[in-house]
Amino acid sequence: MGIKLSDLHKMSAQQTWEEVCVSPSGIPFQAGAPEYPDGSFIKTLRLAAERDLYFFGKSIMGRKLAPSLHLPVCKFVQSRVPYRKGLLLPREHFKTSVVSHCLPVHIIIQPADTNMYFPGMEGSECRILLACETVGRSQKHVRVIETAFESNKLIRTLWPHRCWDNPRRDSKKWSENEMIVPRKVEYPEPTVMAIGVGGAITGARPNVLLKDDLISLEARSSPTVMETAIEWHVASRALLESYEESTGLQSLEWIIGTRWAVYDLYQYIIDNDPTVEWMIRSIVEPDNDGNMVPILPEYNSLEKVEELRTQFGSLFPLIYMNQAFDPALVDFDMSKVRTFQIDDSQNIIFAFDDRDMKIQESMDSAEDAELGSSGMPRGAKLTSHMLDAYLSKGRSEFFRFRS
Amino acid sequence: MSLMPPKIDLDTKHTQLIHLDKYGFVDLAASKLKNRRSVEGARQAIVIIGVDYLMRVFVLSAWAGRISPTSLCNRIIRTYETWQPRIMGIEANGLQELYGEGVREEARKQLNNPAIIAVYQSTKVDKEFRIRTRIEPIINSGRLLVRDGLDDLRQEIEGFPTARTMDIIDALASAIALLPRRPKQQQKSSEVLQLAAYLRNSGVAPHIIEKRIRDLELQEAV
Repeated sequence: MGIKLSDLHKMSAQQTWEEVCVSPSGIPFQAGAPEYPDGSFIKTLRLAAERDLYFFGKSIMGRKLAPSLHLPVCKFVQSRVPYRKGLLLPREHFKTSVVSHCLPVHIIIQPADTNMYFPGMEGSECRILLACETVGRSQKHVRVIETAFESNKLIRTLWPHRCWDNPRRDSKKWSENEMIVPRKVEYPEPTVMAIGVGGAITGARPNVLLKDDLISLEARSSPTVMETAIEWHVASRALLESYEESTGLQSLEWIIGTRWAVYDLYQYIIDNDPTVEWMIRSIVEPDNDGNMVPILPEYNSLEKVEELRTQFGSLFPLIYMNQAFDPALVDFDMSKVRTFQIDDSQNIIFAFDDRDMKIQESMDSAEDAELGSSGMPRGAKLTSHMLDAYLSKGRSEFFRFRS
Repeated sequence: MSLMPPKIDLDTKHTQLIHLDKYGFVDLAASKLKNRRSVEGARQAIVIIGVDYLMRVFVLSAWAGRISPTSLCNRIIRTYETWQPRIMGIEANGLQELYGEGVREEARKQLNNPAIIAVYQSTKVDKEFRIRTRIEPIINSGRLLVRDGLDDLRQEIEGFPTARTMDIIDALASAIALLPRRPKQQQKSSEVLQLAAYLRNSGVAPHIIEKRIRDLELQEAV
């Protein structure tokens, strides 16, 4: 039974799961068509999953991804070039689901001939270093990946050659820290390894580096923690360079997270590393008509966004808008800072506007004020003439004698 | 009597560099300790500003970097020579005063009576507070003008107080603190200004210059 890719995309995750059955011998077939084991539907499904991270995440991994946001995000994430990508999404926008849960599995299931990430290389040969702020957090992500290979019916059915029958028994490494899938070449590094910021990395040679939320609230309030994260990021980059030098192959790096401070790890990378290409999204962005709308309308409404803005105050522009130069965070309004040029004749050229007139007026009034409202210089002795001047202006009610 | 530059005609829509009264400041950043935002440590900074009659502050030059003390001394002297500021302040907290004295001594050898002064910054005043209170009134009244191309300074202003560095903006705030409270509105003839400049360069004492110019003005009035 033939099926088009576009039809597959229209199917919900539940429908996809229900559509795939497995024979007692472990051969997949479309529901109701046991006579066509590994037929067109299965082939198309496998191909679609291998070629499309969004489809893989939604239909195979069962994540609740929304096409409006996650389709472009997944396209950006799964593109091979640029080799170093940064993705800043607001909190609770499934960035970890896409990059830390779905992407490692997607990399591993890639066949050599159509490998999107490492052309010509079996996905199982990849060594993925999954880094988070703490090793505990990255272990949780490794556990999700392990669970996918242990019990996800579709993965075990469609890519059985990437799965162990009993991983804890068959694999040389299958723990909360690291896992190894069946692979042809044995490397010192596991297929996926969990690590936290500050973890020992010397000697490791991964070809994939996933950095998921290397900083959070603790780093925001501690410059020392922030510096540690930055230094660790710089040090970990050397691992990829070491791999590239020794193998001549290209390594890949993904950095995902949310802004936590104006000067944070991400700002450091933006300022200092032009090799990283960024996708930065805010919880609300202008639509074609210029109206601010949520980028994930399936989960957020404008009312909810306003509620978050009130709840998080000055933190909102960072963790939900990913904007470091929000007016709430900085002191000076740059629109008030003017610019000028100096031409060859040593003339200072600048835009003349109302502000200059106001400055002139304020300077003139300040000069007048030096004489005082009575027309007498400040500090002058109180004479009958000065008293008359005050009284003649009807200001006697404001007149005070110095005690 | 002030020797402030002449009032600029607003209708001309531009002013001339020579009509600006220039001031400069050098932040030595002598500490080798990392500051709390930067992983690289604080930078040395030199800022030159010009002020016109309307107290508009034109940032003419802004530099920040990390160079050796000798190179910094040369850079300070060259900057002074280029812009000829009325006063150039050098931060002189603690041992920085010794370095500042060395710079002044070297500048005296190379230049004619340079007005390089030591400036003590109170360590009891929070740096951010100091910057904010000095610069905010000027920005809010539209009196701060930054020369095109000074992107480092613009970034520091834009991100203050949470930007990674605040070396140049700190030097700018310190330079602004050197400005007189307000210049008197005077229109001096170019001859008088030239005479004053000549007398200054000749090393004549300020009170003698003042007296000489006052005499000239009296003569003109008669």
